[in-house]
Amino acid sequence: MDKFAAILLWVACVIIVGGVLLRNMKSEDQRVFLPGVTTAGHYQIELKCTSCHFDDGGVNQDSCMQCHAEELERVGDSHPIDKFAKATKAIMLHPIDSEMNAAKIKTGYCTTCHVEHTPQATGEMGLTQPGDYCKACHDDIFENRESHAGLGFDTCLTSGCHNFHDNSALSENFLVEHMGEPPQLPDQTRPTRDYAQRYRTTQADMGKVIAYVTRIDADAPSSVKVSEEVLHEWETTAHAKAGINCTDCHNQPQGERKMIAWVDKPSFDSCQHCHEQEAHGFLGSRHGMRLGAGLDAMTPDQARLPMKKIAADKELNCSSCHSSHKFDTQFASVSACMSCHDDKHSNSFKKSPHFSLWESEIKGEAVAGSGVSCATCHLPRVYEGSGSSRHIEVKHNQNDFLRPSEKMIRPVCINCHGVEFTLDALADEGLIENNFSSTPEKPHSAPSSYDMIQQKLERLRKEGRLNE
Amino acid sequence: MIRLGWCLGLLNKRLCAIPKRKVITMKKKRKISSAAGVVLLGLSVTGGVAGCGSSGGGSPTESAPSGIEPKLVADMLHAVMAADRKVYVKNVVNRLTKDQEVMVSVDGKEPVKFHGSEDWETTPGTLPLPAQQFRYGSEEAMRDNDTFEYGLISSWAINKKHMPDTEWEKVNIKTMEEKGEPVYGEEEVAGQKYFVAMYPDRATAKACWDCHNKHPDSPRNDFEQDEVMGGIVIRIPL
Repeated sequence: MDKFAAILLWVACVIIVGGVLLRNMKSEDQRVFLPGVTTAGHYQIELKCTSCHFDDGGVNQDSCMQCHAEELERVGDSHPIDKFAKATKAIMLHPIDSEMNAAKIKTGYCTTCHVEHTPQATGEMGLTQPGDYCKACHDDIFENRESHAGLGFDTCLTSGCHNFHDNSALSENFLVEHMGEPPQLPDQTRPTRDYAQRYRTTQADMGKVIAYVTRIDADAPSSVKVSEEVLHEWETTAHAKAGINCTDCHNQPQGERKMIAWVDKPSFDSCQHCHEQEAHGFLGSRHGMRLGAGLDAMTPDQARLPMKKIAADKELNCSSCHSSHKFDTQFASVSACMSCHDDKHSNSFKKSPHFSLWESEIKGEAVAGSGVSCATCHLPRVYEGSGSSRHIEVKHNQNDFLRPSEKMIRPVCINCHGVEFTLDALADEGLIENNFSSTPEKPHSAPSSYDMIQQKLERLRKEGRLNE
Repeated sequence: MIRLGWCLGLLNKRLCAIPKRKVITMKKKRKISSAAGVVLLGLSVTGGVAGCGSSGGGSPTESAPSGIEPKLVADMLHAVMAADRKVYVKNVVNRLTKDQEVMVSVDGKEPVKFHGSEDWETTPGTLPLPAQQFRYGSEEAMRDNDTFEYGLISSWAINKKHMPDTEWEKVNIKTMEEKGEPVYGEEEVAGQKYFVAMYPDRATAKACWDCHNKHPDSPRNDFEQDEVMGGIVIRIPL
């Protein structure tokens, strides 16, 4: 090949490759730029590079914290960035990253252990460090804790004993506080929702009077045909009782000038107007994170978990589970989940004691709050705020209460079960698969956390140092 | 479709490893004030801190080299830290947990006595331990500021991560404990040279020695009033 032909070939290649890249830069499909398979936590938004990357391509603490800070703060993160901010503490991470220093901690703390797009190096929880990484800072543990003698550093996080970020239900003080509890607590009810009451109080504080509206008050424009079924569904809900009329949800800003006009199918913005906390949770969850990132809604066919084929194209938004006018929370608590999820845990639910309790409650045979639905555990009711503003929130970001499963202990399990039983149950993979249809077969580890505490208490008793 | 992932992987690794934009996130917005920041602000107003690494001691209005000696800066910072620490222990912790019987009921549960707890963030009816309050102040002060750092260490720390870290700390904490006086020096950490000062931290209120003497993980249980329980270490880059 002569020199001219070679140059021509190179130019042609550059034009073709450049053209493909340019086309992809401007299209919604940016898969060509993905440097590697994205983790389960982020793959849904992988085509929106700017969700994590800045314009210059970089990633720093802000990238991670914009989504994860809230949860870490709520659980009292055991290893916040601040813990390594001092020069003398930053160098403790040298076994993990030999270039680590105080300045690097401030900008690249999360990515020390969670490097995205590296499937060959990524383990559980998106961790890109060897499983025994605790050794880097805690190699003196055997000197300070006699109970830990002989244990391997690869067991710290895998035996139901410790969690790098959330130890709120694993700390020694918490375990001691709940020591001796029976597997089944005397009062087994979930907290009661208080949103309706809070809404009424807020409206009253603003001097507004809430009036129950019925079909004769319905304010949909005359050009909109409203069916009998829709009218019936709406006027029998809490919305109608709270005075929420058709236009309160269906009137949304339209076009560049944001003119308020009727829309037949309102977006989640309408729900968000009153249910800000619930929408915020949903948009951060596996169900809504694509919408939260400005992408099309998530559909089950994009899921990495087994989903029912019949639901493959179902778009996930607020009305996917709550329907458009009925807002049946009982449907949203079980049937909505079952209509998509097709894994062993989900498919075992209807054979479990939890489901029997749920059935009894909805039949009116058991006290309110005693049933256990999918939502009871995965969209838990959690106390928030303090003092007179203490209230219950239904958390719609199930990621915050899912994995590692110890995250469920405080907000979910201990409403009904003792902590020791809970630890053993959550560490039993067979039990999780059969949706807790049997009892834990063995302690969560040997020796278990409670064995170690008993051992310590015995020593202190002998030394006469056991405080009341 | 052409996949360029394999070659962009290297680029991504590089980008993740060396972030180009320096933005520090306030992950934990604890509302515990750090008076140390006020001292720094005051110093910078008078033109002192920028030259604190110099050996001079001249007037702030003179041209460089000028400033305040690191030892004096450390002494000033320590005065504020020690005062804040004493006030929190005596007027907050001691008052709420020793002088008064404050009972707290949360979420309809049985009332419990208000107390200090290392798990205060997730335990209603508790407040941060004095050592935690001091550490949070230190972390707050260090977030947007790398002109100095400080912390609390002890030979008898309940949390073993607060034992002396560096060789200088390990050697000099003994001197400080024996004499009950500050120790000053220089040391290098991760390639950076620092001026270091260590000040005795004494038992100022019943809450201090009561808690340390009774705690199951405390390696010492005979602390008395005014005894040196540990040291406040201030480190200034040179």
